[in-house]
Amino acid sequence: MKLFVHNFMSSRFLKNVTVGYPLELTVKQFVEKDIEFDRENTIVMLDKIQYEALLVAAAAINQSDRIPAEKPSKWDELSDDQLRQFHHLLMNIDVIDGELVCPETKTVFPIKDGIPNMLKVDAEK
Amino acid sequence: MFPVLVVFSQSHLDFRKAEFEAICSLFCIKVDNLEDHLFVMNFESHQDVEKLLSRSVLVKFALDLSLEVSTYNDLYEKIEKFPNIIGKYDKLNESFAMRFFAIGKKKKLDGMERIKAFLDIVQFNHAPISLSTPKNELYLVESYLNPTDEQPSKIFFGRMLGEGRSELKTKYNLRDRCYIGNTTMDPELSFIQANLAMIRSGDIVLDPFVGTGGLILPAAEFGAFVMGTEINYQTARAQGKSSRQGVKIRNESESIQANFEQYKTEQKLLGIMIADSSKHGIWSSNAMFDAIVADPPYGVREKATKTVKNKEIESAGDYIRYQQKEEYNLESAFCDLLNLAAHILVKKGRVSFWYPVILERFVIMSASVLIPTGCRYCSENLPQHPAMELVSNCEQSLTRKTSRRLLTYQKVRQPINSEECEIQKTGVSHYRSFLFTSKIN
Repeated sequence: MKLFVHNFMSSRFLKNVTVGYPLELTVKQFVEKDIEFDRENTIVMLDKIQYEALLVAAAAINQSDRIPAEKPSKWDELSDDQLRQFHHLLMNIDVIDGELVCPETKTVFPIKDGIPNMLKVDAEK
Repeated sequence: MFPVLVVFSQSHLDFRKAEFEAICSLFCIKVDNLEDHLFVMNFESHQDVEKLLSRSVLVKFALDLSLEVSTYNDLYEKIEKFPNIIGKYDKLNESFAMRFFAIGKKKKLDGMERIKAFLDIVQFNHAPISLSTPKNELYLVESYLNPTDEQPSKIFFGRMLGEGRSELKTKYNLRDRCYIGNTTMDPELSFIQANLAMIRSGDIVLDPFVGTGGLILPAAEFGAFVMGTEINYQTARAQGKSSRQGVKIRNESESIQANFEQYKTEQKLLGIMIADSSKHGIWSSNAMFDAIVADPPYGVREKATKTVKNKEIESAGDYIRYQQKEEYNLESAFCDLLNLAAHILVKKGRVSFWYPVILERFVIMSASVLIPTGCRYCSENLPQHPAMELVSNCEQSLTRKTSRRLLTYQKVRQPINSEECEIQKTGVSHYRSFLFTSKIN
């Protein structure tokens, strides 16, 4: 699972959970890939993400220093080098082993062999 | 504007128009109404033709059309009258080859003889011949109305502009694919589906019933970033029984990831999750997709299930916890899918999915026995959603009694709170029982 996926996921489907976002993330193992950078595609992706969740994801792999703590006002004003940092976090980081955790109920969704398992019944709506 | 002869493949006729229109719409190419497997259309630029050919699996090839006539006498007369027709290809520094192609009749046609006869009358004085690497590949195309006709109804002459993408069905053939399941989509149809969903490079695409990834592989081939959810733990992790004949257990090298690696598109795979796609809340409110492609399980070769609450869980170790699943009513499965699409698609985004139907002619034959009236297929009975517009509906026949339809909807606006998908009794929910219990007397 690329770090990008974390940005799209929530635990809203659980009982008594209203927001369920961003999911807490623990990363026990990840690989860094070298996927070709494309300025346009990166901006399209950044337009779709929630910044606070991206910060959570960057912190989970101890790479918060790659990106600013505040959301940049306009993506297309960033230099290629700045965008490369975002590209690296979203596309190059593949989480192999870890956990996604519901921020409200603390329900744990394990990630194994790169595949998160969101099937949990304990507290479903 | 210049005329181009577009020659179509003879397979999947019902998908031809829809695929052609979707690709033209994707690249903003103006289209006329196409009529037949041969079709002359005016294009504004060569780039437009190239774009069309870069995506279509049902277009065989396209010619820059010089002449369209009914008899060879007409052909030769026109060539004599307008020397430029040949003249523009008869240059010292441009090699050429003559080729022949016939449609509507294959037997007893001698292409070499046709080419010889043509070159006996039409003289090339400057251009050198090169059969292997010609600069200009010139085509004589004959079209026959009936295979028994002696004379063609139409003859075309023009220069080859390029071929469509029919090679993709060979490249993605299931025999050589690393990981397949019981219901992995035919590769040609999976590419047609990607075209109908108007998937473009850089899009984010979801398959909520991803299986072994057969529908998102074409999306990745076309440059999109892809994601999938799968409810079956063993399918998602490529464990358990193999779907291949003679192979018992899936081996360790099989996985969805490995499929992407095989076609060198692994950089496009965002992730696969084990999740219940009927739970829309697994997606956050900012999760927006450009397209959804799906082949929901019809409950025949793959079970249709969703998770249920308050039932006991079988547990085996820490990670594997099988959740109780129940049969997923097919009508609500399709409603859920359309509701999901209405919420998580961008505006103008498309969802394209397969929808099994019981054929009307069979229902009439055995109506009294099995199917309550109103349960058979008719176009008014398809799933409907006020925010989603049906843009195409193509049929692939499966058996004498059944077929499946590839339905493609486009999101026209954001849904208002209470708006939900509506579906009338279509027989979809009877699909399985119908298939297994009915007998024709």
